[in-house]
Order: sequence, then structure tokens, then C-alpha cells
Amino acid sequence: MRTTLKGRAGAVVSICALAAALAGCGGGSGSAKADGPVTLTFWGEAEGLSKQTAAWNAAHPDIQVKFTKVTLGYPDYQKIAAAVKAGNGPCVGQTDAEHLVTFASQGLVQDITKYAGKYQNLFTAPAWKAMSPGGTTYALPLSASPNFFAYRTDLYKKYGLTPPKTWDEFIAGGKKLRAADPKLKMMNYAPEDPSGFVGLVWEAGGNWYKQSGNGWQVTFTSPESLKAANVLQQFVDGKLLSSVSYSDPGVWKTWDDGGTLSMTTSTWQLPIYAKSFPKSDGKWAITTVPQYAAGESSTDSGYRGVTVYKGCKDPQQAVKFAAWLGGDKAPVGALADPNSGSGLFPALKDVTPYVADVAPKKMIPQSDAAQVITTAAGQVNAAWEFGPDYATMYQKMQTYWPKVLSGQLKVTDMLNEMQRFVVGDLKSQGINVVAG
Amino acid sequence: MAIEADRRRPVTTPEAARGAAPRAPRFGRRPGSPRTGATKGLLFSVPYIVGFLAVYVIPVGYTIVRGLYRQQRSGLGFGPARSVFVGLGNFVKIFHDGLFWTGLLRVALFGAVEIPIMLGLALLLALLLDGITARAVRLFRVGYLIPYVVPSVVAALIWLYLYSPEVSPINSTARHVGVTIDFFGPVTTYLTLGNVLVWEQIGFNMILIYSALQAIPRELYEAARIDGASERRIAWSIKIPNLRPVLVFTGMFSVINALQLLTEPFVLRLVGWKSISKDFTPMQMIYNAASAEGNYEYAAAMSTVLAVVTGILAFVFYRLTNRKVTA
Repeated sequence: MRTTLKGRAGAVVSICALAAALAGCGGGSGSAKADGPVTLTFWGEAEGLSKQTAAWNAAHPDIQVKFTKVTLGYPDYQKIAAAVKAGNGPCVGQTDAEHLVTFASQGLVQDITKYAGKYQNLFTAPAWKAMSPGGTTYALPLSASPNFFAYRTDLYKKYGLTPPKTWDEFIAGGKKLRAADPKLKMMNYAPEDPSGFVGLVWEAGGNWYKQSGNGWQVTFTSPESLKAANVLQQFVDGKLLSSVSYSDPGVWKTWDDGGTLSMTTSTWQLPIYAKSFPKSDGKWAITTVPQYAAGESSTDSGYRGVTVYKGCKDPQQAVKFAAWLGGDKAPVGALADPNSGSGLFPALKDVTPYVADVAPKKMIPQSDAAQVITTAAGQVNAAWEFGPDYATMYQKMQTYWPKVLSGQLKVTDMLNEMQRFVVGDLKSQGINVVAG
Repeated sequence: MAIEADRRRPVTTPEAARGAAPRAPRFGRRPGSPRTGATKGLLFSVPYIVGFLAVYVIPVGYTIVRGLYRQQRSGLGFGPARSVFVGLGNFVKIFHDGLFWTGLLRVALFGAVEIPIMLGLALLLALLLDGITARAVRLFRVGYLIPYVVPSVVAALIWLYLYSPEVSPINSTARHVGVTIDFFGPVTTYLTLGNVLVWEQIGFNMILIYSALQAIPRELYEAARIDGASERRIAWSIKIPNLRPVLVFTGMFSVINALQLLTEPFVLRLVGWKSISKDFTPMQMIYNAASAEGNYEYAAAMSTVLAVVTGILAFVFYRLTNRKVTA
């Protein structure tokens, strides 16, 4: 869900974008001058970045930043990679954690550990870890997207459901719902998007790429991963899920018409839902995600960061700017506001000054919405790591995913295949790997 | 990037131009100065040769060479990768890649059904168009050509709305009589895709066939009519045999297009994910390898293999169909 909402438009645009790639991407790397001001180029996507960059420029005449708005998705990241390889890339750029590893594995980003270290204490541990694959820092956190659970208050009441505290309760609720009307679903897992399952594994404390020394232990079939697989298999077997693609023009009706009653979701999606759910406006509430056992508290989160690309001649200044963007009160506050920014939830340890308006009140009238999200952000499981071939892995999983959702392939069979595939893929690239 | 080019290939293709190039010197030849003629001819060909090298030979060569390499990393896999020469390593991997060959077989079989239907309909429409008045011809010609003018991405998007399981107007109408059509069942998927492709391709092919019809000497029809032939007989015994070259030509390009199928399944799988997989066609696999995984070497090797297979099939098709002409 996290990546593919963008992918919806991106998939279609991508073909056209290829043509644009031929026309060249423009922009240049930062220029080094012995003295005098430096100019950094910055490519980003989030709403409000342009305004914040202007604010930075006004306050920092010696480090001028030139912002270019780009779109970010799978093909777009490849475009950026091509630009960086050709020496036409930007100096700093916004990136998701899962794409940062792809850049790092291609040697396209700079090791900024020595400049960035002093900012580490500002940010949450999982955010920092996501920006430091293999223990080397390549980016500074910009925002987090902690996962939480949203549900239709009117329909939960109508069918006698309570917000599930555990996945067992969720499954029981789903069965009750199906007994009332077999067409009703608990949640939607889009057929192109296994990120829901990634979230389940992450929440369980699983981690498919465990760093051990100078290599990776690949653990698709760890007990945590299998725990998540068991839950997902019950979703599928119990027919508790709808499977509407985010690319389907009618996707929002899935929830708005009341066919699907709940979702796991995150901050950045809320403004989109607020616009796309005209009928169910004000009938939503949020709570923390269901747990594997009562009393546990764990969830997953996406992270965005600002990275420094290869070829940037002023990495120190670049880091300074990135740390300001994701860590300073003024830009963080502005970007967190769904009206002036894009509802970017801060990746900071202390988020209290920023979150009051992070949930759209019209859609979610509950008074403690900000508290729920803040709690979720503090419960992100720290075990998860992104491996060097995450993009290839995800591609492969996407090919199995529709078969899993339609029940043609057992979740455990997919995991076994993934285990075999990833070990083989890493080996063929010369990367140290042990199967675990 | 090849998608748009593919559809226009019949008009701008280097292959088509290549046929004309060697003949160029003859036009420039003047009595008594054969060498000057040859030089002039060569000069005339230079723009073409330069373009051919720059946009065809060099990229193809680069693709083949790139396919002989593989990115190698070490340790954790972060940091700059080394490009390592692996010889035919990628090609051996493709040879064992069942998904690639399944995809290739899929588009080949699909094309074997879709192309005859599409060309048959295009031929029928061209013959009908040939039989009506000039003013009506203009109207129909434009009407049938419009789907071809629409970019294939846009066309696929239009059909995506019509086929969407959530908002399809076809289904919301059909539901009133208690019917729900599954556009992406095991068999219906191919009908769905085929419908889009026929819709897109029929107009252009019809125009080509219709143009060829105009080139047939009208005297032949008159002679046939004097001999008492019916219009149907004229179509069958005079028009169609004379259309063989253009049918071979359109057929061959349709074969090439079919094997390089990308846009339509790529877009339609957004709603038809149940049956159209991410690796439904070889071109989709190439696209994924390059654009999502950044594995340009494997994508390059797959492109080379696809080009060779396409070339062989197009050649076989050409030989088979051309033999009939001389027989």
C-alpha cells in the first residue's frame, strides 16, 4: 500500500517517462568552490519541499539549494540512477528506505556517516537504521509512515464488531462479517502490492535480510515470518480480503461504498482518503494495528530520507541541509501539516509539537487520533532491515502475490520460493550470503 | 521507449528504407560518368547511413555487448559494483528461464490467432471500402484510422476503464440482466486483449490494404466483368491475389508487433492481475528487469534473444507466405 498508491499513476506514466528520460534529465551536481557560496541541487517529490527550500535559501546565503520536483516510483528511481551514473544527477535527493538500498547497492550514494553521526540522536532508532543499510549511513531521515489500523465506525457497529486487538480477533470478526453478508470484507490487499504482508512480517519481528558480519543471513522462513504467513493464509482461506488494485479507477469505492470495512494504513495516505471517501467522511476511526498476542505492541513503518548522491562535491553542506529539512522545527512542522506540506510524519524521537493536525479531522473525528499515530510511531519493530537486492526481491514477490491472494499458492510455498530465489540472486552477484 | 516506435515502424522502419538504399546510385548515374554517379549516390545515402548507424547499429551493438556482462558486488553488496565479463552467462540463464520461454510461446500462440482475425477483418473492410462511393470512403477511412492514431497507452487506459471489475460500464449494464462478465478469466483474458489489439491495429492495416487495392489496374475488373464475373468473384480471384504482397508485408509486421507485445498487457494487468501476470510477455520481463530491478545486463541479453527469435519467425513467415506468390 505504501509504495503503490504512487505506483498507480506511476505505472502508466512510466512508459511515457521513458521517452522523457531520453530527452535528458537536466540538473547538475554540486559545484565545489574553495571559498564563497556553494549551490546544491535537490530532487524531491513531497508537497511543500519547494517552499521549505526557499526558506532555507533565505537563511543560508552560503549554501544555496536548487529544488526540482520529481516523481518517485520504481521507474523514476531508475531514471535518477541513470542520471547519477551519467554525472547529471542531483546532489541531494528524497528517497524511500527500500530504494536507498538499491542506490547503495549500485554505489550511487555517498557514505555520509562522519558528517551525519552527530544528528543520530534526533531521530528514532528504526528510522536511522533504515537510512543506514549495512551500518553505513547514506541518508538522513525525512519522515516516517507508521502503520496503524483504520475502520468504519458505522459498519463495525452495524455488524457488532469491535476493533480487533489481535489478528485472531480480526479473523473471528471477519468470519462473523461473512456470516452476515459473504460479500463484505475486512481489509483490502491489492494484487500488485505485497507490502501488507511485509508489514505483517515486520510486526512479527521478522527480518528477511539479517546482517551477520560481512554478509547476509536470508531468513524468509524464520519462525516470525511463518507466524505472519499463518495469519495471511487464514485471511485468504477465510475469504476475508478484497483484492482491488490501486490502479483500478474504482478502488476508493471499495471502502467508501462499505464493501471493505477496515484497513492498515499510514499517515501519508490519510489526505488521499480524506479526498476520496465522500460518502464515508467522518465515519472512520483509527487504532493501533492488531497484534499477534494480546498485550504486545509492535508495528511497521515506511521511512523516507534525504540522501547524498555520488558526484556531490559538497557532502558536508548537503548533510547540513538534509538534517535541517528532517530535523528542524520550522520545516518539520510545515511538512507535517497536511495543508501546507503533505502530512509527512516526522521521523524524530519527539514528535509532540507536530502531530496535532496530522489526521484529517473531517474523515477521522476522534479526538485522540494524533495520539494513536504517535503511539504507533513509537512501537515500530527495530528488527527489520532492507537487503541489497530488495528491489529485485520485491519484483519477484509481486509475481507470486496474486496467486497467493487467489489461494492458488500457499504463503509458505511463496516464502520457500523467495528464500531460494534471494539466496541465489545474492550469490550470483558475489554477495556473501548464508541461508538461515 | 520502443512502444510508440513499434507502432509506427511500418512507415519509418530502417528495413523498409534499406530496400531503397542500394538502388540510389542508379538514379544518379549519367552516361559517361559512372564514378560521379556513384559518389553522388553515396552522398545522397549519407544521411540515412549516419542515422542508421546512430539509432540502429550502435544501440544494437551496445545491447549485445552489455548482455555479455554482469554486475558483481562483494561483502554486503553496498558500494560501487564491478562490471564483469561473463561471456554467454546471461544467455545460458535465459535458456533455463522457463518464464521467458513461456511468455514467448504465449505471445506467439496468441499472435497466431489474433493476426489472421485482425488481417482478415482489415481485408474485408478494405474490400467493402473499395466498393463504395468516394465520399463515404473518406468518412470510413478516417473513422477506422482513429484508433491507430490514439497512442496505445491511452487506448489501453480507455479499455481499462471499460474492463475494470469495479467501474466497468459494460458490467454495470450487464448486471441488470443478472450477468457479470469476467473479462480476465483463463480464456476471456485473450479475447479481452485481442479485442483491444484488433481495435488498435485494424484501421492502419486496412488503409495499407486499401491503398494497394487502388494500385490494381481497373482494366482487370472491366475485363472480368465482360467475361461475366460477379463482384464477389472479382474480389476473390483478382483483388485478393493482387493483394498478396501487402498482406505479406502487414502480416510480417504484425508478427513482429505481436512478439514485442508490451503496452496493452502492461496497462490492462492493473485491473486484470488475476490472469495477466507481471511476466506475461517477454517485453514485460525485459521492462521489469531494466526499470524495476536495474538489471540492465539481463534485460539487454533478453532483448537480444527476443530480437533474434523475432527475426527468425519474421523470416520464416516471409519465406512461407512469399513462396505462395510465385507458386
